[in-house]
Amino acid sequence: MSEWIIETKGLTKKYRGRSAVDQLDLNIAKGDIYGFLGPNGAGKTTTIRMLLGLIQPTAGSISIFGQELNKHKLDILRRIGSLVEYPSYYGHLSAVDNLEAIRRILSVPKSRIDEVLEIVSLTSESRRPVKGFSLGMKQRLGIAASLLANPELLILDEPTNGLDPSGIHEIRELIKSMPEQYGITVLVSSHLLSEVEQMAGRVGIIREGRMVFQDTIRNLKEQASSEISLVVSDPEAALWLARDTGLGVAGTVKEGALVFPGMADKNVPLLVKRLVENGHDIYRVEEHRKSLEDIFMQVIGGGDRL
Amino acid sequence: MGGLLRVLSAERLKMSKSWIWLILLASPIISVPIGVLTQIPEDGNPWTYILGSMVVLHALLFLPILSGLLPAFLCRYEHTGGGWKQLLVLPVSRTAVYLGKLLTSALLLAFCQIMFLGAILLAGWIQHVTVPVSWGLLATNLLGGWVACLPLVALQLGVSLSWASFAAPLAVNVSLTIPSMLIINSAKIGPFYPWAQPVLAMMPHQERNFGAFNLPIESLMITVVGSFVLFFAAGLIYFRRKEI
Repeated sequence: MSEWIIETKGLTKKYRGRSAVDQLDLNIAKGDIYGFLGPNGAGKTTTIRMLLGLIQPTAGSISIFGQELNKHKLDILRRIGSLVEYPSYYGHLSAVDNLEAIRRILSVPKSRIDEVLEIVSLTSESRRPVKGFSLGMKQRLGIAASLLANPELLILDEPTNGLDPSGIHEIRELIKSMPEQYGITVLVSSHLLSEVEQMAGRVGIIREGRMVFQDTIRNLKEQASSEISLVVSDPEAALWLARDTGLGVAGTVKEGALVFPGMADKNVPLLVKRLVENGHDIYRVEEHRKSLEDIFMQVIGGGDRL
Repeated sequence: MGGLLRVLSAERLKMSKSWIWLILLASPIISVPIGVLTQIPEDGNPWTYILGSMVVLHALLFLPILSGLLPAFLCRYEHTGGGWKQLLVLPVSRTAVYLGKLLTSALLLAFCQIMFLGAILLAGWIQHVTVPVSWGLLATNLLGGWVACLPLVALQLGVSLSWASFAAPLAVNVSLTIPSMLIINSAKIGPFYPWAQPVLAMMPHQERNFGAFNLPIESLMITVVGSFVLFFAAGLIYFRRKEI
């Protein structure tokens, strides 16, 4: 991959000696949807605030669109749309006026306001003061505001936070359409893997400010190994027999069941046949596949790196 | 420069649907009856006397309080809705945002001064003053009062930027404004106390000649300009480094 839209090297932010973000190397490719994952307080928002120039990194470099953020901040910001944490709005103004206040600073054509309201389907509510909006509507208004300047890069921090399932679905579809329809690269953060797994191409998982996994969703899924478990009448004896088959399978007895991690398909009937021939009763043969969520929990919970 | 104009335009929009205009009219309206009830001696310029009596409440109390209220009000839009993040990720420098808020506050205060000029003329008209209007006197004192407010605006903008609360900067401002009622009587401290400068600058000289009122307007401006530069620089440096 040669063209990174966002590239950070050794990005670090310290608060009173404690690292909120520690030596982070982010790489986000053009046209991708990048899922930025981690539990609450892992440093996602701190990282995003640094990417947007809201706070200064303690160490490390940020390069966006191939330019140093420090040197070309305003040029870079002109090409980014963003939504940081909860949505920002002026409560006493209508949706249209909220966007107009931003449009005046961006100096883009007035017609963009109607266009972005259409994209987030707020056109019918656009004249009401925003303080009466539901959280979902405010969130959509925030996304509308981030799209106002025709950005090439969209940075959305927990855009589905506090939304109901239909709102989450709506926002997800909206984000998915961005690269396809408008050629926009998206960085979307979340503390739920399930939320981004359906839209993201690549994910970065951070824990306690450190990157613990950064690769495609597909490669993450491959970490999800399966295991075959057999519930039999006499597990201990069956295990001895299984080891003796010459199939080369190493199993264990777990909670009264025989468990064989990563067993090849062709070995399953051979093993079953062997057990049956030796008088074992087989009650169940099951496949357990580790879910993405399990891997995610393992990554963010345990100390091991993938 | 372009950035500043765009910020000003956005500030005007945010302000347009609010009640801030009414606040600006309060002081001129309250001052009219004071001007109308002023006893004008046979000798002497009636405009001096009308200005002298109307200025007390306006410049001693209302102007310093407004100087704190307006920046607090302009920052409130961003503090309440989390707007700082949205505003500062736009392609505009923090200096432009800071100057935009400062200039908007200053322009609103200028509007208040113009309304106050109207109030003086109205009081004179009701009093049937036949002497031609002393434009020179009124212009100098109104402009001087406005300039004397600018350090307070700069200081209060800095305070309002750093505190998310709306009331706290106002409380600070009011509690620093009230003592100037006493401080103007002191020829020693009066000239150096920023909250006393608006009334010192706006009071016509013939009217009062005690305490700090003896000083010519030129020497007052040393305090005003000095404190403005200090507060302005401190506020701007702070805001440019602030973590949002």
